[in-house]
Amino acid sequence: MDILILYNETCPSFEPALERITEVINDLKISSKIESKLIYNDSEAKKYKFIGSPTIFINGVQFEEVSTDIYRYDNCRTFMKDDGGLSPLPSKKKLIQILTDQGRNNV
Amino acid sequence: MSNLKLNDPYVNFLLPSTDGNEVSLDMAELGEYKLVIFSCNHCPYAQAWEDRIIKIQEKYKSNGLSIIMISSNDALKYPEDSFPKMKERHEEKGFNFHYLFDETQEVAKMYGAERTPEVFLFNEIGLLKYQGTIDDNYENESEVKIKYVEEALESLISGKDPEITQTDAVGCTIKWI
Repeated sequence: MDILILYNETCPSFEPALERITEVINDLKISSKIESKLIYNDSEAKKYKFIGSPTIFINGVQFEEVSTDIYRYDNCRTFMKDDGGLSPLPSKKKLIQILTDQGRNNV
Repeated sequence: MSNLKLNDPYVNFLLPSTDGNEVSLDMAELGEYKLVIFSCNHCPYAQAWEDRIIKIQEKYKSNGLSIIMISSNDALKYPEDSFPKMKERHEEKGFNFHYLFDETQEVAKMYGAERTPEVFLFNEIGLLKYQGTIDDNYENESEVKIKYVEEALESLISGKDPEITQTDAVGCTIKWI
């Protein structure tokens, strides 16, 4: 499984998000390759469809996809919490669900 | 790092509020403890703490706390943070405090604010007694271990200086023009 995490230097979400994704992968014992890429400016943000840090792609599919044409390199990504609230980090429960589904598809 | 240092007096300002008025820290109707919070609409960290800020205002209103929340973000690049959108957020969330627009960003620069949210707590004579973050868990209120702002407020209310006077503000950067 290929996981790509796009991030910026202005938002503190990258490291805790990476930690959470790594924890879920380890718990699920999924074989995966995690890559990360630092986004430096708005043109790069547009090129890589970076909607905020972290923007996460799992096997090329954006986690919690947002349809937008606004790409700002210094933005922090907003995710939905399981209770309907908002968070700077991806939901662990959703990560487990998506990574499990993707893991099955990879078999 | 803040431009204001511990025990510095607050820097006054006059900014438009989402309730249609203009607000200055010198206004007599404000309480004796003033909590200035640099925040904004769009940042997920700011959003994560919004409900807790409302609760803090409610909890300490009778003790003389006035929260003054300020958005200083570049509203051209971040139209979610424009003054009309701030007014919408105020209505949606039912803010029980002033929400001000620092369009020129001068107030954020005077205070040395860098993040949203970032708080500055002033005591009854207007001296800075705590600066930094609100508590130690932006993601889950039920897992908060240290309520920095509330602990600092409790100290001030009981006539003492807070034990913890500064923490790192955790959040988005202020979007400078």
